[in-house]
Amino acid sequence: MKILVMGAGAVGAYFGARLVEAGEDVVFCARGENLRAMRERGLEVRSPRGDFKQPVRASADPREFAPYDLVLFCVKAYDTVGAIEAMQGTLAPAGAIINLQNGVEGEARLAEAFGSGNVMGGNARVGVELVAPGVVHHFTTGAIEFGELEGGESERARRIAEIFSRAGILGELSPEITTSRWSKLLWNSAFNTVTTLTRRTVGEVLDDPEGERLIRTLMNETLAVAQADGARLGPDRIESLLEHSRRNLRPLKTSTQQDFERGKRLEYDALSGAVIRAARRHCIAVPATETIYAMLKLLVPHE
Amino acid sequence: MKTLVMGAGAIGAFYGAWLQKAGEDVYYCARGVHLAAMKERGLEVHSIEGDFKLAVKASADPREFAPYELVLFCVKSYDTIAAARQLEGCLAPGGILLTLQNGVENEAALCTIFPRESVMGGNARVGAEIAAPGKLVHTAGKMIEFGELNGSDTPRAHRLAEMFRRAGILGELTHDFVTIRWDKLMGNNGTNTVCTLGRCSLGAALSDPDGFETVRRLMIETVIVGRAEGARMSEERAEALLANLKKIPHLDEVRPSTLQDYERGKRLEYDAITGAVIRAARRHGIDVPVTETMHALLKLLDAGIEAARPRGAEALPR
Repeated sequence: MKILVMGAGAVGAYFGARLVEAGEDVVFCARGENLRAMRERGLEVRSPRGDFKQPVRASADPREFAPYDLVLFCVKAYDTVGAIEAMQGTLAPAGAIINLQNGVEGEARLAEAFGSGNVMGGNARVGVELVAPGVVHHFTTGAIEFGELEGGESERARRIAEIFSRAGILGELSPEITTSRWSKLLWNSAFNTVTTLTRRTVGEVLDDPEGERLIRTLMNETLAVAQADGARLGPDRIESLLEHSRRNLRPLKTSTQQDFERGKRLEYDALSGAVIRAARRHCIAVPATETIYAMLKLLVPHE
Repeated sequence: MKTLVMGAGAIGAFYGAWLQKAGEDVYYCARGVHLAAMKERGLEVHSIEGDFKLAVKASADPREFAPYELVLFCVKSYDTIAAARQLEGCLAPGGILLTLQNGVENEAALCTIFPRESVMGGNARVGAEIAAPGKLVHTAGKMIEFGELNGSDTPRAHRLAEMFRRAGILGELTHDFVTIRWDKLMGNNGTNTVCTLGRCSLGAALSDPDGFETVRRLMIETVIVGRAEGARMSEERAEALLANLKKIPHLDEVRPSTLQDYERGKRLEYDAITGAVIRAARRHGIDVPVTETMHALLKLLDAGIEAARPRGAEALPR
């Protein structure tokens, strides 16, 4: 299967490397230093599951090696429009795009551009960091859960699941991907934002009673919106996310926090912004999320 | 009048310098490199009204030059009790302790250590910054609002007002103490918090529509709580203050004290602001979700500053 990794940052490069190892025909679309490094020295992944270092096919223009049977769509949310434009005409007939971005709004944009039948939703569950151009450090997990936007199972989803499975990256073929997407946002819209604004780790936030209460407030706001938007989630999900965070994610620096420390643009609009826009559609008040959103917006251009 | 500035940070150094220039006998209590610089080179003032330099009498120990007829109490709120204990026995008979700190809880804290009749309070209305040890930069305004805690009209309050006037400071005497303190807290709860978490000037915060709306919500929450506490406040007053704030010249250079502290790696004075609003809100069963959010964020941010500081190191101006 010919696969395009659209946006070969840490997440895209990691999954792409695993697919190359499994014998798939993978093209990496990247930019700048990262692209140059991959072209000159190949892609390197340092991982507890085994290192990877190989020459790879990389390009700034997805058209160069088109068409593709499968696209892993991994660009930052604020680059979605530009990436969609660059991908026009590069999808093979019956090709599929899996959206692995943060937030819950990318699928609709992709569906508008490529037809909803060609778009699937997914969650990347992986702890990775781009430590240098062309070099990815992999810490933990490494799975993709994905599924049809309409829900249910499909022949092509099973085919793709088969490929992911061979590459060791199948998390789950989810019959309810919308619920899974909101579940991920439930975590991200609370932890990515608070850790970035306060420069504290997940564990440090949870150790402070007021920190934990703020996380719960934000999660409760997102949960109400997710439920109104059709996600099948209940308060028990908040408890299990908190338990998981306390047990497994204490030292974690979230991706938004990493971006902030590197002076990169922050993806806050796909997190808090997405919750606020959905809340407005459903007439739900989300005062804490709105406050956090405003602070991240102010923070962006300054430090 | 023999006056001690207890805590010669930006606010204390400003009022001290203006009073000293007008002929008052002023002493400064400070710490660390700021104290060393003032002792060695005096206090260097860069003001919108012109620059000048003063030789100053400064000490780390208020007892050194005691007793004082007036103490301008300007330490950070988290240092109130420790500083008050240092001051015990330093007040002349009939002496006045005038707190110009942020928040609405310091007067009561001081009354636990000093007799209630010696304590007065007020609002510092001045834009200033300690830009370097021994160097005060004055950027905006030169007002003070103050009065007796019970709002009564007393000869000593008039004497103080007269003294400030002679020093070129617009000294406004209030008979509604609770209202002026909550009015100041309203501004602080809106602007100090947002500028610190957004790491931005007041101009940047207010020119962004979401930043502006957050400042507005914080002020409105403060109005509702302040009113329950007996302050005469209104939503209209909050809107009017916001409209006036936007008209301040050089708003892009105005950086609230809490942001200045953040930038210098100093402890953040959030609890006297967001914490005070939340504690009063709880007493009256009022919901303040935006203030609660800011409080938790500032508490976490402050914990990070504390953790990053080398053990035993003192936080000092750059």
